[in-house]
Amino acid sequence: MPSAINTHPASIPTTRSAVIRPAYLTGPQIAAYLIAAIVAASFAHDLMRKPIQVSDSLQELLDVQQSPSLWATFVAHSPRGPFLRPLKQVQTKVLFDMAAGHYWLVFRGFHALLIAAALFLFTRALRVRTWPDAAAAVFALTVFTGLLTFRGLVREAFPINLYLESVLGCLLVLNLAQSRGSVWTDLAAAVTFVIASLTVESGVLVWVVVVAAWVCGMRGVTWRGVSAVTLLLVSYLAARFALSIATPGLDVGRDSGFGTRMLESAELARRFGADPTWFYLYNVGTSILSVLFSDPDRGVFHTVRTWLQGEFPARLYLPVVTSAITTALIVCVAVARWRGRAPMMSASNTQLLKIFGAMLIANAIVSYAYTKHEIVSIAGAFYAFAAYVAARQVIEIGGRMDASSGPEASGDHASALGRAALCLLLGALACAWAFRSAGVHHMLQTQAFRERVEWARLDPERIAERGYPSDARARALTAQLRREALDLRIANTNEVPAWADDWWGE
Amino acid sequence: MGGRLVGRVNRPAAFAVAMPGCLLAAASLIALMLAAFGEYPMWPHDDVNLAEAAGAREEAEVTRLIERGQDPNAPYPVRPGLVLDRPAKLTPLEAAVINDDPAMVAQLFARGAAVDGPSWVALRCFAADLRVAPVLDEHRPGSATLECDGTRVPWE
Repeated sequence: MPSAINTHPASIPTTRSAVIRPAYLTGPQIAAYLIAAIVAASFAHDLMRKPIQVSDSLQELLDVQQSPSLWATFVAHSPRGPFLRPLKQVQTKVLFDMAAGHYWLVFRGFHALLIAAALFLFTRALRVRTWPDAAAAVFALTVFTGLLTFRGLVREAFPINLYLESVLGCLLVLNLAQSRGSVWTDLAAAVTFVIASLTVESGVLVWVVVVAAWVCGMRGVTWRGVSAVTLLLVSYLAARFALSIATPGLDVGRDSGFGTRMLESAELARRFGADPTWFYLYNVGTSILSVLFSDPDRGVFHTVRTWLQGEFPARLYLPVVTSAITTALIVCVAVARWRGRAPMMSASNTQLLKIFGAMLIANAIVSYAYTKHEIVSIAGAFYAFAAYVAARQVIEIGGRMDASSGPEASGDHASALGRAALCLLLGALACAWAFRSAGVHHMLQTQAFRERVEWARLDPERIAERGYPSDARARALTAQLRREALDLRIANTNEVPAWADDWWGE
Repeated sequence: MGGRLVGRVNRPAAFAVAMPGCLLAAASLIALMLAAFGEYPMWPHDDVNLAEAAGAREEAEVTRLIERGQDPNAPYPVRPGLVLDRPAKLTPLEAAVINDDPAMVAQLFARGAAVDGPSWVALRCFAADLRVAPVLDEHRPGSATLECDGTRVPWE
């Protein structure tokens, strides 16, 4: 009989007094970090082969070029419509001034650094101790990078990827919450919240991580830290109120999906303008579904739409099937834990499951006005934590099957078949996630090719026609960015085999 | 304790969970090492001349090469497989017409490509049923008369 007492080292409760971390890295930890480093390097390499994009980036760069100082940038961009994102443009200004003419290198390099940091913090938060942990961590890395929400973290930058910074902020405070705790971790959590919330609205989810982690028993961020971050959240909301910054609603003016098609903003206003509650609930619901099942995207159920048209594109069905199976595994494991039938689940893994639940709901609520994969990318990252817990637990379940049957019963066909089926299912699932993760590289190459074409079509001497500032400095900056983009060695994705687009395209 | 823990896990399941990710990481590592030497196995970048870029629908590369001084009216050697299945010497415009790429043909005309009467007739006759025909019609030299009998394109 397997022991009901959990002796797994990672199961030790993470109270302040009980956190035990070895002073050195163990073999499984090194393996997990090594895989994460290679994955990070491969995405960083792709990002460094991408030009800074024209849309959403050139205007921002020209803006900060015109701005005389950081303070002027901060003031000019504090309230903007329904948004309060002053640090977004301040960061752009800092990098722009640091770049000293090497814009592509600095902005793309910063994006690559953020991705590497996110993957490091993600791996660290898994608290790998044993080889089975490491195996599940490798799986979780492919889930994290294979999710459609991850694509939004690498696809675009404005010219900084705000959603990636939110994910990074949430992963950072989760790591802080898992630590031993000190006044410095409290301070770091507070600073992280300030930066994240003033960069993009979904940054307020840092508060949710802090509170959820504390409620689940993580004491790295102490009650003082939780109070401070909560106070900062209240201050943030008060500042929005004082500055008359409305919460985003239908007036954002964006097209949005509903059912199987996109609706233009005017159509949305006509349908839901009188009472947008149902539309908001729809967005919250579809945001949750998009994390759990990789569909819908932007509120549109693409699988249903294509099915009605008699099409079954692999690029849609592979993500949906893999996500559905993974979600089913997570649900099974969570239900087993809830019913007390998963005694081997460590306390830290239970905490990760609970925090995922909180983040899924909170991130979906934040997406009430407008939903897309990028906005729910934080929930996507935490979904990968849940996948890690599920994989880790399934590995344990297989072991318990072995242990309960005993060596004398090794010939038991049912047990052997069960183990074989489990291995096949897990292997197929892990293959599918690895394949999805590899697809992100294809997407990045395709994006890079398209962005280079965008630059080729832009005439720096005629940027005024597109509404950009057009003085000599602006034209010179545009010409330099264009030159940097055209000089990049980028693959011609027209020449890549068609199957790549069939399976990995967008 | 470590031995007991390892005994509890389903090793084949752990292997099945980890192996695809490990293989992906190994493939990524190999790709990164090859990239250090300028080799990209899955998404390769080949150095191309202007006609090859036009034939491969590389709009940005066409722009770059013209801006760097390559002549949009000169013939260039084109490797087999890019436009034709044999080596050929083509102008960028010919490569784009063979590919039936109206956007590329328009871009080349906008960036300085020009054709004389006989060359235009040869291209236009070849493109009789192609999508590039209207673009060619927009750039018809005044002296050209569309008479296809006996007309041959240079690459045949």
